[in-house]
Amino acid sequence: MININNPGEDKMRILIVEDDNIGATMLKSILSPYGQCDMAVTGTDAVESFSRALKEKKAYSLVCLDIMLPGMDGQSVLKKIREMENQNGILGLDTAKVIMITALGDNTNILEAFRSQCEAYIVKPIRKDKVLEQIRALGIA
Amino acid sequence: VDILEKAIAKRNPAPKPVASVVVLDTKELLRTLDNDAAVLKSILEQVINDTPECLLKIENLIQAGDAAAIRVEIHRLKGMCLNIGAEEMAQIAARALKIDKSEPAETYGVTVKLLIEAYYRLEKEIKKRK
Repeated sequence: MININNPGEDKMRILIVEDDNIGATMLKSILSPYGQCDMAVTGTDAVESFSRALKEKKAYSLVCLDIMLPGMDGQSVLKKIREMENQNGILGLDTAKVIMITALGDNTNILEAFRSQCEAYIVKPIRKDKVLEQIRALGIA
Repeated sequence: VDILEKAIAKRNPAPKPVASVVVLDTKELLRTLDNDAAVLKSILEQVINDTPECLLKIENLIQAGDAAAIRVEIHRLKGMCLNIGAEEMAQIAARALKIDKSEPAETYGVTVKLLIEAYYRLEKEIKKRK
C-alpha cells in the first residue's frame, strides 16, 4: 500500500552496483519506475550503502550487482551482503534479492554466485526485457 | 619499437580485424531506453567522453606491465560496448579476454591498436548520428 502522506516512504529501494557509467544509466532507466535507485561504483561503496540501509531500517529489496568492480569484486560483495543480513537476523524471504549483471558468462562465476545465494544472473548486454523478466520472476515488480 | 612490435606480433599473431561486423547498432539499446532519444544521445556522448580515457589507461597499463589491471579495463570496455551495441569493439575486447591470464602485459599491445582503430570508426558513426 502506498503511504499517501509520504509516497516516497513506501517505494522499494534498489541498489545498483556498476562501475560503468553507461551500464548504470541503463539500469537506472529500466528500474526507476519500480523503486528508488541508489548507485554505487565500487564494491566497498556497495557494502557501505547496504550496511547503512540496514542500520536505518530501510533495507534494499533489490541489488543489481556487477562482478568485475574496482577493489572488492561483486562476488565478495554478495558474500558480505548475506553475512550482514545473517548478522541482523534477516533470513529467508526477507533477504534482498540480488541479481548479478555482468559480462562474465563462465560457469565458474555463475556457480559461485548461486552458491553465495544470488537470485538471478544476467549476462550483459543489459536489456530491458531480460531485467524485467527476472524481477517479475522474483515477485518484486 | 618496430623490432619490439614485430617480436610481439610473432609471439602473439595479431587477431584479424573483425570484418563485416556492425560498428554500432543502437536498436536494442533504444528499445531498452523506451525509445528515449535524449537518453540515447547522452549515453553516446558519454561513450565519446569515456572511451579514449579508457584506451589510454590500457596503453599506460601495458607500459606498467600490469596484465591483471588491463584485463579489468578490457572487461569493462567489453560490457559497455555490448550494452550500446558497439559490436566490433565488443568482439575485439572479447578476443583479448581469451588471452591466457598468465601472458605478460605486452601481449595486449596488438589488441589495443585494434581497439583504437575500431573506436575511431565508432566515434565517426556516433558523430554521424548527431
